[in-house]
Amino acid sequence: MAALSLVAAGRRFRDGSLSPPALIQSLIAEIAALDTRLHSVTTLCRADALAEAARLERALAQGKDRGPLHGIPYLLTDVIDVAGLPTCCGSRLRRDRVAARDARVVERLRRAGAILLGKVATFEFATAPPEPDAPFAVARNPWDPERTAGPNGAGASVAAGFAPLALALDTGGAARSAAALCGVVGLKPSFGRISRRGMMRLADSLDHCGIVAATVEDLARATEALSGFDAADPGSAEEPVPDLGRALGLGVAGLRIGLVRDWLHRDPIAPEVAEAVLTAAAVLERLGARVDEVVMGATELFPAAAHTIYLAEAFALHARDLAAHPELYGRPARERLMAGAFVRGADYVRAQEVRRELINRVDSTLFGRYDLLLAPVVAAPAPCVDAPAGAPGGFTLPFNLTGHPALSLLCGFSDRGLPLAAQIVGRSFDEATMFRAAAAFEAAMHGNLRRPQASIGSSMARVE
Amino acid sequence: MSDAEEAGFTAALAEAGLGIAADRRAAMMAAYRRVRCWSAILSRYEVPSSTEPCDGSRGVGPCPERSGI
Repeated sequence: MAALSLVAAGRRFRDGSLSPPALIQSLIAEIAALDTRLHSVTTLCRADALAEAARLERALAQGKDRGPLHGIPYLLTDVIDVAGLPTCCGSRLRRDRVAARDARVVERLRRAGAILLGKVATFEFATAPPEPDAPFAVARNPWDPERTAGPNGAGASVAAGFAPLALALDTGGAARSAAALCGVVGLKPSFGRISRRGMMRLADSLDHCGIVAATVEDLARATEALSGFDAADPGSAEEPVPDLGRALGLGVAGLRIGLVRDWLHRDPIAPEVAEAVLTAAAVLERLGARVDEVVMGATELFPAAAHTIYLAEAFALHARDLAAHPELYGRPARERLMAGAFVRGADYVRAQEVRRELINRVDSTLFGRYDLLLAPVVAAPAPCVDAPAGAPGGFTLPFNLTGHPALSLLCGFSDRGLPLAAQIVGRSFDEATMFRAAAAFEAAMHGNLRRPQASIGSSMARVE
Repeated sequence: MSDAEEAGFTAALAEAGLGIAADRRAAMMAAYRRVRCWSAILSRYEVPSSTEPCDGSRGVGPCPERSGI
């Protein structure tokens, strides 16, 4: 079976050419055949998924249609709670912890008719790779299994066609970088847009629920289903759920886009990444947008504030366990989290002050004149899994700091055939304009929507 | 590392009840220096002094538009 987007699968459910159980069966077979090389899926909910698919097939036959996600399988990074399943967070420390209730996003997807197919790998506590002898896998890249898939298996699993949709925690860019490295679409919504109740906490004021999808339209449908106020999340915002479907066909004519020029010259960005982002800018301009070069600036302040907040908040959550059970952490995660002990209270408060200033600056200076920003996502294509530097540095964390929505999408391929990505950033709670540009760009680049079938031996070739 | 840095590094670990293996000391010291470097960068940013009243535009706290940030 060809890899299906969420939208295409839904269409085939409704014209009778495919059923939810048949789709689940085929995906389970694909995972069994291909994931031995990718190590992206850690838990497969085979029986439950098939039973739920059968229920949803009957419901559809009875005219009980729950909408675009009806019968659609999805995967969760193993930092999101599902009642009765362990949430290990890639750590020995959490190995025996079974969730008592579903995360809010799981509730919302279930209500929308989506089917949980399983869980995918994560870095330990979504912050650092596991040690080589740890009992947790590191996801490999379907474009080249000798290369990293990013900090979780969401990008790898969607790119491999195991499901059209996967959720991940995005605290510093994990969802967007996994999508970028694997050539699919990733979203960090506005801070407050999607509830984090039932997701692992890493750094409360930076944590977002990220979404990885096969196509921009799939991402839009999932975002609509997941959005909405939740009193159980103290960061949740009372903003109306956006109508993203309407935005998808509007095109970019008349939009003003600021191309973040200084990030394209920042060492050590790979020239092919910068080139791909410039090409994306040219495509958007050709489609009718006005693209100007802009300067983000604050080169030192952004990372200083973001890392100070990240480390302090993460350490606050881990201090007790680091002191009591250091041996249960892998060395990379333990040392990364321990560094939070070096942050002083006054530095944390000052970092929050700087954050407010940076938000104001981005809002007034950039979003006062531009509807969107265009920037790189990661500094280089996926490196080898054993590369000393690990995953390439990125340009994602600034928007976890500011809370602006940011979307990562495929915009080209490196000389070695690895995906390259660009990031579209919108005003807070204006995901619709961001999706407008992403959909227009994706339509213009339709030939790029291919799957990594050659490298993993999949029967799948293109996204339908 | 200066004596002051060494003292700060050791005190921070002791206060948190954290120990490190001898062969990881250099790596953790590098992390300590990075954090202190960020602190120095942040300290160059001008924050209101203790004598300034709140003017509503600065400070840390929940925001009605983006609560939590």
